[in-house]
Amino acid sequence: MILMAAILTYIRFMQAFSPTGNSPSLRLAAEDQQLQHRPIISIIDDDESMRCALKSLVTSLGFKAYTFASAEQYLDSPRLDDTSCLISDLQMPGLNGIELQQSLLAQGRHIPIIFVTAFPEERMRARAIEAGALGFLGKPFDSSKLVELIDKALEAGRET
Amino acid sequence: LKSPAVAQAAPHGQSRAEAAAPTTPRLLDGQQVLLSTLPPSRGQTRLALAIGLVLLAAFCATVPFATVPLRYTREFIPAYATAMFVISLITAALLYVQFSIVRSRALLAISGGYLFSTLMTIPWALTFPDLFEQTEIASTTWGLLSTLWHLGFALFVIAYALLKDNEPSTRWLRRSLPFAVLSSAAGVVIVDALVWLVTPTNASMPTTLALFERSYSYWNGLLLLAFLALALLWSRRRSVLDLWLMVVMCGLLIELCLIFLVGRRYVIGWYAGRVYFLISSALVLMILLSETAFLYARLARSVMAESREREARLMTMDVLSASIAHEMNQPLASIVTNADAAARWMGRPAPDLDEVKSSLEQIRNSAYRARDLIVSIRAMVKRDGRNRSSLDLNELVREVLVLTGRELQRSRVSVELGLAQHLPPVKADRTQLQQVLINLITNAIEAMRENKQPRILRVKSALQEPNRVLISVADSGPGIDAGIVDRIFNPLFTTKSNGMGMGLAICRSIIEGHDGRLWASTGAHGGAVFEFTLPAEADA
Repeated sequence: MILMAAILTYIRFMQAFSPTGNSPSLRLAAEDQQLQHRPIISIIDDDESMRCALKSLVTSLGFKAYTFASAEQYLDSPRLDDTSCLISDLQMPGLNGIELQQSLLAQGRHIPIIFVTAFPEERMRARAIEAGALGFLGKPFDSSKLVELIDKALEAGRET
Repeated sequence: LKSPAVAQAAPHGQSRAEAAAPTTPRLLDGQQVLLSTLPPSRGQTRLALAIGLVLLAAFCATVPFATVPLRYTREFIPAYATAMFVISLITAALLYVQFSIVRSRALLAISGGYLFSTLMTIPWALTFPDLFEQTEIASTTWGLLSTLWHLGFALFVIAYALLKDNEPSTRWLRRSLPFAVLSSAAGVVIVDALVWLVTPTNASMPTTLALFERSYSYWNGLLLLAFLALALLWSRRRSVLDLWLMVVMCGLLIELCLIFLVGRRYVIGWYAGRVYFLISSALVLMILLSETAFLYARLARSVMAESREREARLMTMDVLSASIAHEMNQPLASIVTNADAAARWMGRPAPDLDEVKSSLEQIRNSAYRARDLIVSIRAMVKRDGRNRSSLDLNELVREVLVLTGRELQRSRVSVELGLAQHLPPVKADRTQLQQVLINLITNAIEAMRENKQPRILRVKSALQEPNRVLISVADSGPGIDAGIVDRIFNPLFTTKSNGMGMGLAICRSIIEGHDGRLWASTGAHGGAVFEFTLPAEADA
């Protein structure tokens, strides 16, 4: 017993002093844990190139990104339960962004939403913000603004 | 050949519901709005046949009692002449209007015939012997005028029948009004001359002519002529006008037969013959008038629909500009976001060059997309005819198939070509039409991407009556939903995830800029069919 306890203490001691660690299995386990804690950002855009670009940007920020080509696809996915922030296009075939927002609210899900649209209309912006959208960006947008909004979304998530 | 009306109402066996609400109402062309070119419907043919049979039956029923004397009614002929005058005059006016539209020699002949008929009723009524002076000579004059009237009319109908299929290909008359006036004057002169010839005061009137009037060969000749007119009409029947002229000629033949059979006045046959001809003439006039009114209504409806459509399209101009902004912002946003992402990947403690590379590739693709969009918009906006040249559409189709060959091969699409031989050239902008064809073919390829069944692209060309060239691009994909078929040409509409949503709007705008039409339908074997027509070059 005492021997085992001593060994464990030694391992913890080693970990504490060398975070990168000499043991590869231990390092992977640590990264895994970190990965699980990475916030999930879901991206919905019917435009494939925009989808890829957003995914790349979000991943480069250190988040986990999932992409969907339509609102319906997202609503059918398990990401509905663990999305920390949703970035969605406004005009899409099928459900549009506002309809998606309504549908989520009807389900009682208050996921922070950032809308990005290639055709920003004041009327749509007002509707989206009124319904609780976190942000409304016109394409093309400065990515620092998106990053700001994502941070805001994650903060809001931490508070609740 | 199918009549254009049928071919347009239900292209490629569409369901009735779809055919009833076509994508775009097409303006009727000249073939469909003129009595002299419009083919009679089955109902009209039946009605004409029925009237003909009733006339024949009436004739047969009258023959046994033809010589039974009836009450002496002096007013019959003046009343009859007045009615015939009015009927012939209106018919003549109606036909002159038709002539003024098509300027066909045949129509001039037949309207001349009716004018002649109108004018003849005046001296004919005035010389009726029982009305003013009951002399043998007056009676002869009246009889001669009567037969000359019918003879002349039959000759005009024969002229019509002979001329109607031999119209010169070029318009032989620049203006119709002088001709209408001239032929009216000629009609007055001819009738005057005839009256003068057969008037008793004219000493030169040969008595032999009077005797001849009663002879069998004279009547036989007249009957034969009327019959010849009917036969000619029958053998060359094509239009509504032909059909109803045949009914008129039946009435005329029956009148002639009855009058010839009885040879006396105030007997049943004498009255009945005239009444039958009057009835047939009046019926035909009524039908021609109602037909004209009906065609006018159809044309008016189609013009209204057309202008509504044009208005709707004008309204979509701001939608179009919005859509251009939308379409342009999409690749721009992708470029900006990718650039930002690449910068962040580079800025990491351990830069991920693979991610950077993929972002750069995305940037390149998006930039190309923006360029394609600009090319399309330029093609759409540029509407001047400066770049138009004489084009062989078959050649263009082959060219575009070579251009899209790699894409076709990669998507494993087999091409079936059905190009019509001796296709007349069209005057068009080569790049624009190329753009349209590339767009339609690319759409077809994309529509078949998910296909389990064979992927077949059918490209056909055909000459469409009277002088339009038709190109059709059909795929074996899932076809177009009935619900969206009328929206696919709208600028913002797209079903594709990375589609521009403007391709078809631009295609339509290009084709219409060339005075053509572009429409979509569902093919006979399912799949979508996109067809466009362009006017063939005029002097080719």
